[in-house]
Amino acid sequence: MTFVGEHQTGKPQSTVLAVEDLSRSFGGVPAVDGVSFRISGGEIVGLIGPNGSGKSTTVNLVSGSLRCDSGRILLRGSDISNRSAYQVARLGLTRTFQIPRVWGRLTVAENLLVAGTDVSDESATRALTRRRKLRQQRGELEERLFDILATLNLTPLANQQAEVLSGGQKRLLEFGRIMMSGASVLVLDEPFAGVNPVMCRALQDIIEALRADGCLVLLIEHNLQAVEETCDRVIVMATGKIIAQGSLAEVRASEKVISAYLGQAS
Amino acid sequence: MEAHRVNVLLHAIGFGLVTAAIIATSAVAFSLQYAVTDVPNFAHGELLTVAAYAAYETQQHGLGLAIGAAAGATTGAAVAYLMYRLVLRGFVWKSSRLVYTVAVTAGISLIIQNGLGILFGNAEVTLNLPSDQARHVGPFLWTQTDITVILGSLVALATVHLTLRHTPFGRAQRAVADNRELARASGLRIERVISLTWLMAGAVAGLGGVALATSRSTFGPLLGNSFLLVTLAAAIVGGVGRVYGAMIGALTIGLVTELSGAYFNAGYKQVAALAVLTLVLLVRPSGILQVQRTRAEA
Repeated sequence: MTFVGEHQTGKPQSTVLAVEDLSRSFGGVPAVDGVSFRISGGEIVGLIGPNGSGKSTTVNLVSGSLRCDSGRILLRGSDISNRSAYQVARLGLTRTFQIPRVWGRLTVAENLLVAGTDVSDESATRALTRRRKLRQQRGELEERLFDILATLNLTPLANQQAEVLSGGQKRLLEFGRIMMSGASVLVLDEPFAGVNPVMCRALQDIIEALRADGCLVLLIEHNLQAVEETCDRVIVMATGKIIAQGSLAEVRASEKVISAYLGQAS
Repeated sequence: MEAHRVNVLLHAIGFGLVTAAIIATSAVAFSLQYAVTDVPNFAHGELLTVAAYAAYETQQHGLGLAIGAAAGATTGAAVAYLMYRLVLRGFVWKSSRLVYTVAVTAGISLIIQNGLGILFGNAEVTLNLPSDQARHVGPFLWTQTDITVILGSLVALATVHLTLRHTPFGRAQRAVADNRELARASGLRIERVISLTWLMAGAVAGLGGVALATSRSTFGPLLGNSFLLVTLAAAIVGGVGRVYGAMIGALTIGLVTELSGAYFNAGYKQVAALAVLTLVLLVRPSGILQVQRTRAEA
């Protein structure tokens, strides 16, 4: 299931991810309230806003972790609003979490292999009857695994249990999983939180490389410098609504944004 | 005198290894299922019982014990699968509180026990075993059946090990056991992994049931239920939900029960199992294979 390569690399093209009038409330309190935006292939878009503005809920809705109350989410034109998280993942939309998540009791290499195989299709009987095809697939998979481990400087840790990794290394492993899965729409929840500047630079390079492969990236981030360096444009949310869109410089000048951040939104 | 003492010890260890082999298949099945699907299955014993009756039934049709074992594994797998699909699925998906699933599986356990009583009667049935002499194998005194049980159990455990460590499906099983939400977000078909895990655990438990039946030779509808306690003890001693721990737990419980039987009173075997369990829980609350585990999720 490779989506990378389906797109031409380089210039942003037509809309890949479209969110239309998305709403979700918790116990009557709207967390996301009529949010709409479009993102094209090859674009890196930052989702920013003060705490409690609905960014995380938006990400959870888009990735299928939460169901929306109303509105639509279109991935390459097809409606994914009511798909479950695993179906959304299989359509090539992958997310990361605020605190990096790995399978701690699997090795680093196994973490990547799980992300890269169409595992759950391999019933025991099929594994027996299609050995040759599987062996060939396994060869390709291992090749990709070695490449990715090398790219992320994780090769020496390949056989370590993932739970011993540092926070930054877990973050790298998350990106490794994305690369292995061949996802083309990446939703990243604070990818630079709690990583040192060197690692931050490394992660930015990875994101840039994924974009060069045609991936679309939507990222939540509080580190505005990183946002400025990484994102083509930003979407600003406050109290569940989008209050501004554009380049970081543009939205910084917006009075709505300033007052939202300073807590004076009326 | 000295030689006699050594003999008693060696025989007890020999019996202990046979018992451990049976406990191991049962406990590994329990732990595997629990790790991946989060259901503490109090109807686990009945998987062993239905398998034993399946073996008995094949014998009634004049078929051999090897076919009986295959029939037992198949029946165990089928019953476990149905248990999941028909009843427990909803509980697994809603991540229900443990106490609900305990109550529900305990109910299933009673239903199956009574069902078997209706089908086969509550009187004990007898499995025909090849009459064989115990003989010396190294320092131990084993019958051919004992040896078959040990080898069969080793093959079953090795199969579980190879599946978990070296197949894509096994990796998926461990990923689901480790962090289900991440597995879902990564596009794993959790539903399928869980159903197949019930099937697999049921088959292994079924083999354990046939092995248990051969070691008892006569049994009734309570066969597996009477074995649930030692199974749980082994699974918990090894660290709940840890498949490899369950193997070590089984070895510990198997040896301790048989040694206590040899030196004290055979009636105290289960007490010995519980004593070990209590001791281990006091000293190492997360099992023998205690590992510092930093949870991936916050």
